Amino acid sequence: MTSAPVIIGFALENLSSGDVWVLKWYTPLEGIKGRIFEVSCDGVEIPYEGMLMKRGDPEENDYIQLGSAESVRAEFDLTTAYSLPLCSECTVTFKGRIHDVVLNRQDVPRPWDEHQAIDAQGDPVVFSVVAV
Amino acid sequence: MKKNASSSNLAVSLEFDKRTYKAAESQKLFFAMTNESDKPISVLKWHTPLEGFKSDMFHVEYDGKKAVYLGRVYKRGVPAEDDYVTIQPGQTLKYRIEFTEGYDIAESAHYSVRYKTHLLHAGVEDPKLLTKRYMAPKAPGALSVRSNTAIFKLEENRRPKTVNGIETAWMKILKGAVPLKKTTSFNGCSLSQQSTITNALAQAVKYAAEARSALTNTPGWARYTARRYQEWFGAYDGSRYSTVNGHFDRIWDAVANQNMAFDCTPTDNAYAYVYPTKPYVVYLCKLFWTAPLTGTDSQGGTIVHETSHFNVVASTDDHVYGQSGARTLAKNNPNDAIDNADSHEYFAENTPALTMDAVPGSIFKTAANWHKLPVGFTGGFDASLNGAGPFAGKCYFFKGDKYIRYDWTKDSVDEGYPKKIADNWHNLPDTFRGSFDDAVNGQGPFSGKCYFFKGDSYIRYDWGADKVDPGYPKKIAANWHNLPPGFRDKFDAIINGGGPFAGKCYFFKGDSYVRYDWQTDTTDAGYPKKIAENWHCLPSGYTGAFDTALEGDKQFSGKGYFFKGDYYIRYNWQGDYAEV
Repeated sequence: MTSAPVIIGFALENLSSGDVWVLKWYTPLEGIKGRIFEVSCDGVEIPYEGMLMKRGDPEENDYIQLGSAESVRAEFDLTTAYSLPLCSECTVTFKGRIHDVVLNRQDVPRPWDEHQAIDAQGDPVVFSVVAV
Repeated sequence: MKKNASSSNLAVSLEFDKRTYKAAESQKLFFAMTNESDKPISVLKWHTPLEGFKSDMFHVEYDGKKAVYLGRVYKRGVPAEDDYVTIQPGQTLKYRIEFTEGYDIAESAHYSVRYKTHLLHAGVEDPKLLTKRYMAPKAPGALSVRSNTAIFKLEENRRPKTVNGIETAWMKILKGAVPLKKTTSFNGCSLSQQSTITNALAQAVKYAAEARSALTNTPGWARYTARRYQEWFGAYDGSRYSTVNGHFDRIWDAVANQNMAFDCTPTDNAYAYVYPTKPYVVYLCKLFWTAPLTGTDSQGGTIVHETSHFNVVASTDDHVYGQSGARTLAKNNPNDAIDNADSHEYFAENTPALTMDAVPGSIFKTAANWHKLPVGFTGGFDASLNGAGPFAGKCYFFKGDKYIRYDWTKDSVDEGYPKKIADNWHNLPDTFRGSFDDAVNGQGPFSGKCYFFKGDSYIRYDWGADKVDPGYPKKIAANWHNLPPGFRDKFDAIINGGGPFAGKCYFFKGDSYVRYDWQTDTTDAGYPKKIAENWHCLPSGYTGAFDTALEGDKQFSGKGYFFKGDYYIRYNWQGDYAEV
């Protein structure tokens, strides 16, 4: 099992022509607080060891505003939630569910049953884990 | 036993009352001591069955393992005179003990039992003197004792009283011991918070106990329509229901019996979180403290929710939050619902309250669901019957002197109906040309025939020959065996059972029915019975006095249709209930 951190960068880009407000929950923008990745190493699924949280409704600061063509970036350490074995190929895929994307300022924040989720497309990250 | 004066003085013999035992049987062990010498021998009762099981006095072996000793272990002092018993030369003393009270005999195996003869303290001296020798090391030339090995076989596994050599909690309770107290630990919690948590945990125990009981105690046939289950976990499925039931068994065990730890230090905008790989630590967050103790998204419910996340409990995920999302999830994706923590919480909180009661079946309008029924044939049928042999795939509805033919696959009445019964069914006796009570197909030894009933008589029709067999009509009572009084004529409806009830034929009359077995050609014992008590989810007004009953076929296999007036109900044989 690895002991060194595995830092992965995550970037989210607004491809639309207007402003959007994105709920940071369940994205790496808030760290790893749920089963938001699919992680497998040499074909074996790696179990999630992070936290699972019962949440209420989001507050304003749980959203981030992105202008048109604007992007936001965050880094996270995969090993805070996954124990990785020595292997030739680990694949990490963000499941891509953004739980709420809001187009009007006055709708932020809004309760769960009003959330409009989208599934974002992204590329998996591939790396190997070796002994030193 | 062969007497050998020089090699032993005392012979211990063990014998079980049986060679093999079933799980429920007790096991009597006869322990006999024979004085094979020519002098009286005093024997200390300690470490022998003479005092019951107060010592681990036997080697009990099976499959290379040792059975666990269940009895008490005593710290003793020096024996007194009356702790001894004297056996005269040639005399045998025999004692009996219940072996399973001393050892955990649980695994089905061959057992061998030997007495630990070194524990026996005996001698030819007076007991007063023997007691003095008790604490001294074994003197040379002391009494020799021999013992046989007794064997028995346990045929069936029993519920073990120990796990890894440690008595199970319920066993301790049976023996009057106080079970280990469940402890709750806290990190960073004020006294007031600890008190809140203690109350919330007690509520979680109540929620989990009730949820588990509700699921376990709902009878099989009622599970199909139980609203409380469907609300949170979607359409009934045996395997999913069983999974959820298991979840609550383990949620309850965790909150009721396991040591839980609560951490009050987080400040997240949430109710609580856990690490599924780290039972049973629950991190409480901001929203927990302002939540109500009971009800929707309550403190008690939050603990149920979080506990369900632990991999060793139910390993649930958070697919959706909130009651609204959970209800939608149940409808659209029951497989995710049974894996959703909030769904478990809402089922347990049960607010607003729903029951696990079955919902009565629906009453359907015949003309709305059976197609191309001609005028006059939309209800009030006398009899109905499935075709067989050359007529398979069709069914027939009889009314007065006419009948119609229904095609199951096309799900509609065939062209050219109704027709006159007497013109198309051959060799019908004069009295049997219409107004039947009902009709049914023979099964098993009677396949290929069908039977039309009217009053106290019946006829037998041969499908292959397409005509009534000679010698009919006959009296029902003389040819259908062991029909109870009152059930020998004027039946309302007759239907063959399907699914688990295949091979049986049901005769309905008024509010009761009898069950006939085609193979044995006789009425089953214990009939008549009341329809309403044995057929489930029957809607009001449909608990008897049916017009006719018909087995579904083709795409409608597995259902039974009971008609009354212009309406019918549909019975699900597998689930044993009338469907909605």
